Amino acid sequence: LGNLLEFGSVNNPPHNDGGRALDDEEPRFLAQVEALEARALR
Amino acid sequence: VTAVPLALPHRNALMAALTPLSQRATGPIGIGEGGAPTTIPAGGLYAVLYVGQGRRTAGSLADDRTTLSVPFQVTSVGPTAERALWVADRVAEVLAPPLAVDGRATWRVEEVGGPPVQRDDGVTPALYYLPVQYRLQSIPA
Repeated sequence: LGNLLEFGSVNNPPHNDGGRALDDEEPRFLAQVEALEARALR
Repeated sequence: VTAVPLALPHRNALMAALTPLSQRATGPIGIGEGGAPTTIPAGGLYAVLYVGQGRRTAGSLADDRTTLSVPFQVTSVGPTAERALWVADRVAEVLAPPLAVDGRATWRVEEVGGPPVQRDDGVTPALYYLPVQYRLQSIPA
């Protein structure tokens, strides 16, 4: 049912909850990748 | 302070780009906003625009939050899977050129993607639909 909530259907609107959660997570993810890079290059 | 919501000119530009699809001589595509259009063309093809408020992020180190990222989805609907795909293709075509948004400088519309074509058995007759998510980003002009 995840698809139906996330993207909606013919008569149901999309909720995009997963998409927003991913957007929220993006800065933290990028910060971790940058930290990994910095450690690898040390 | 502007009197209109920041996302509104973006929504207007999207509707302006999509609306001509309903005037097509062959295979007109009805355009709805937030739900199916009130009148669906004879071929049963339509596309529904769902537009969000957008996310404001810092345009500079002063944290002025002038960069706007507007997420939106266009759900393409048709009586067969092929036609739903065809509608999604026409939608992608009209969203491909740069959009003119009042008072804003925009990036080209970014296609985020979505799930594959699905059949909706909750309506009679069953219809096929294809949701595709996009993103439109802009800064003050």
